[in-house]
Amino acid sequence: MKMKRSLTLLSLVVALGGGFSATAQEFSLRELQERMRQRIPQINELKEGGVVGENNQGYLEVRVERISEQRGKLVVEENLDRRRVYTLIGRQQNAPVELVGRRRARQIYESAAPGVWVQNPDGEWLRKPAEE
Amino acid sequence: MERQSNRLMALGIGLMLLGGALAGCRTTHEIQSTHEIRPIEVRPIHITIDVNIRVDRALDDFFGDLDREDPTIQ
Repeated sequence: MKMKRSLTLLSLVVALGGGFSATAQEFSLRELQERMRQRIPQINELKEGGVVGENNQGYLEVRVERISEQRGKLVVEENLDRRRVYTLIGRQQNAPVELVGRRRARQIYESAAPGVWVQNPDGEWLRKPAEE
Repeated sequence: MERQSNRLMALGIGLMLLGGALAGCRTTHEIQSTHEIRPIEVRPIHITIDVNIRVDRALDDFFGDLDREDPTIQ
């Protein structure tokens, strides 16, 4: 149930798409940076535990069947802020928000630490091997 | 009279042989080439690369410090 709720919230993040452009103005890039900085330890715990992975669109994605409501909320908040960042950068650079997300996903895919779940551009999920 | 006729005939044959030989030596080289100049569409590719570079730079500016603090990003 909790998992479904989390997934629903996650789906909303992706499905609403450009709808977040309106909320993007509520936060400056600096504010978003600070919010994301404070979330790093908790997000890392989820990533290192294989609970979430980095998908090929620049967002976190739940990789387990069950996730607590608190953790689900954390993931949703992180994805919302990422969306806001991508929207602001997209506006600055005159680029679609989806492109910004994919470019970020590429950066993460290339530099993710071993053991972190990452989705390659073809949509396949893999845990980043140690040698890369 | 007959001797003169033979000479003329020999001369005629000689000229014919010479003409034939010269014609055989003549070669004709004809090269046909067609050059179609097509416009190279580099602009859209250039723009795409340019956008990617600008977006990557903006992402680096924003996430650079965060990534340095993040042990899951190397």
